[in-house]
Amino acid sequence: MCLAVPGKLIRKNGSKGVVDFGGLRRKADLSLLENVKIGDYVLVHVGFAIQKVDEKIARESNRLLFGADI
Amino acid sequence: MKSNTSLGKDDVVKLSEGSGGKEMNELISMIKTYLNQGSWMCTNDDSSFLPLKNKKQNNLVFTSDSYVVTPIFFPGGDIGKIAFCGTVNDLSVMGAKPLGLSLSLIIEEGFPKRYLLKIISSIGELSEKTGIPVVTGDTKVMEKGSVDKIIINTSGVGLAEFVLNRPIREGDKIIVSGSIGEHGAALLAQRFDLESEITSDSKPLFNEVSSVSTLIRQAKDITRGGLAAVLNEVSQKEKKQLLIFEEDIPIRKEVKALTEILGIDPLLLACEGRLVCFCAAKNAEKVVHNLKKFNSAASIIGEVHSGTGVVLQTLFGRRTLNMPSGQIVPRIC
Amino acid sequence: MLNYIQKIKELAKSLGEIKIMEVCGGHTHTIMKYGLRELLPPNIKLVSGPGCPVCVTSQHDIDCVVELALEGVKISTYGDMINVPGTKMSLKDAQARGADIKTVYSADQVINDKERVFFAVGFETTTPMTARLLQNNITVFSAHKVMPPAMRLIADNMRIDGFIDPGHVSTIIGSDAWSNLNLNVPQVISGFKPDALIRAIYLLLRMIKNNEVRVINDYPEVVFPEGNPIAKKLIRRTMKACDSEWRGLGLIPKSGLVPKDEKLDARIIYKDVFKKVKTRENPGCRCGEVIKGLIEPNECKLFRKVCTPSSPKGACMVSEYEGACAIAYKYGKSLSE
Repeated sequence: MCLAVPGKLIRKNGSKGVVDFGGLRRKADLSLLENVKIGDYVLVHVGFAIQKVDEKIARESNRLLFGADI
Repeated sequence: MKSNTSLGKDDVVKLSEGSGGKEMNELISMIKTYLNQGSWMCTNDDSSFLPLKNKKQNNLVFTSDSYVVTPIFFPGGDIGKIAFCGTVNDLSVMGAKPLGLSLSLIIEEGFPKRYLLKIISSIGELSEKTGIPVVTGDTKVMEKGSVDKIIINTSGVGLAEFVLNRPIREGDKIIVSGSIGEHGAALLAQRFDLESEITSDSKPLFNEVSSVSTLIRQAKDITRGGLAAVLNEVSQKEKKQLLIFEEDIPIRKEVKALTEILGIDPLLLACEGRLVCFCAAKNAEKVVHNLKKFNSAASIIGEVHSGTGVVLQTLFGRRTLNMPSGQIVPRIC
Repeated sequence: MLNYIQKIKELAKSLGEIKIMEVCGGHTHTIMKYGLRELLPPNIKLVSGPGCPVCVTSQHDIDCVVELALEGVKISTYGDMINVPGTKMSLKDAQARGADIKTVYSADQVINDKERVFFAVGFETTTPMTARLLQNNITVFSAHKVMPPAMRLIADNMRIDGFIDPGHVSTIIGSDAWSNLNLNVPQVISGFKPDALIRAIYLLLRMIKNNEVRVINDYPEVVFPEGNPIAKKLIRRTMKACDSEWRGLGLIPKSGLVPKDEKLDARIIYKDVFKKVKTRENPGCRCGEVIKGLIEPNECKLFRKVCTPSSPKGACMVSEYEGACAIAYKYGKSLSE
């Protein structure tokens, strides 16, 4: 199951953040992640960031993350 | 445009303003000051009329539609704009020059007057800009709770030299006039609390159609049900298979992002200012060239084949694109 | 990409009939949306698994929540759940009769709504959000399920040659969870883009050909060996395992999660209401077999005729994102139809 979409963290205030998905921004709860900072890519499911995207792996494997934005 | 700043929060539409007396006349004359009445006559009477001079335009084209939308104000427009554009577009895609519209309002008691006038102003502005007058109408006020805020009906008449409804043929190209789904996306973004710059695509399409009407077989405006619905309608009516190349369909990045987040299909999102048209392959480049003057995203998206149904060629395999069914609900799981 | 399809075709020549199960409904969605099945050689079959939470929620659970709503208890739940038909009616029908049911897109929409019971569904990916609600003293009717016991049941009882493991469930539980499960079946953890799935199928076929049985993590950008430790801890703190009834698969030991705190567990608080619930499944509906991958949606007599997304007769016709029947309805006649 489980529609989850990667996006870039652009604002952060404690455990609350705003994630940009290719020009569209949504609030996200960051409390399930440690050491996440602005500029990181995170995977968001029903309003919660559930993982930090390992950008190095994503780039190396030339993975289409969001369109081809990463 | 005229503005009425004297109206406050407490100025709401009252039941008495719908009951045929003095108050109603006052409300109607307030509405009328916001509308353009153009070349029609006797607009204070029970009907208005327009003497016809051009004998070449010998087809009378007539259409009617009712509009409800939630929310009534959204990025890039409001229910008034949709009500005006929708009917103008229904006339335009048949090859008609719109002559005038009627405007009927069904308003819930207690509806703020400043909202009403904002809606009427949008219609007035478009009427002025396009030169298409609103020539007659009706206003009813319903008891609180019996309608949701406001329902608008517009009907329109137009004249056409020829009706733009020639059968499509195998080998014809399928063209959209711009990037799709922005109206539906703007509404969904607002409903689901997503920040975005997406605005509704609603606009009158008369000029677009005029620029290509001699080059195309037919045109349809894309509305509810999105591109998927309109293509299926044409395929069923014309008994032809439409092959669509998914990668060639223009969709803005933000709209794509929204559909990924909500788990919905962009081809089902409503438009209010886009059309799809069909033309012989030799005219296709010219049609796109003309449409690009209005929207740079105009593109060829597919072609007509023998057979039935709408087939979508994705970057990977092929699948059918079915008539949408049920409501668009965001997916969580 | 085409490269991988070519490789798949090559590999398939030396293999008999191969059945690969995509466990996750999100994967089914991608496969159908991009017409991937028709790109595969005829001896490589993809079957959809039980990874649609709306579909596997038992009808009895639906009936219980409908009863609760009709008794006047305020309910909140995710959008699709209200359309699932129950024995008497769906939650949407209950809503039309005046029941107070709020649909949410995200669990945090009801995080302060203490008077509502949250009807929670979902696998490991969605469970941490419910755990957060429990921490905020929200009462929960939990139909949460965990994937590994169901996969074990399928691996032990059906002939499946390879699993495409659910990507975002793996994000939470980690790739080690699958390795430690020791299912005697090759597995690939995959992302959700069409090219990722094609690659996953190739990797599975390669393992099958070489008689290799292991778990390949092909979604390493968001699936780590340990998963998400904070989310796992949060679930452990607030919820406990229980036996759970799956539509189609039956009762699976230790495959469900309920609140640890009985004061927040609607199943316990309202147990007297649930006693009078009588569940009878729609005799024509073959959702159970669809969920197990035994039949294609169009083999069910109700499919497309009386069972449609606007009037679903079975749970698999509800979720257009994950329900095998709804996806087949939407993306159409491409398969065996």
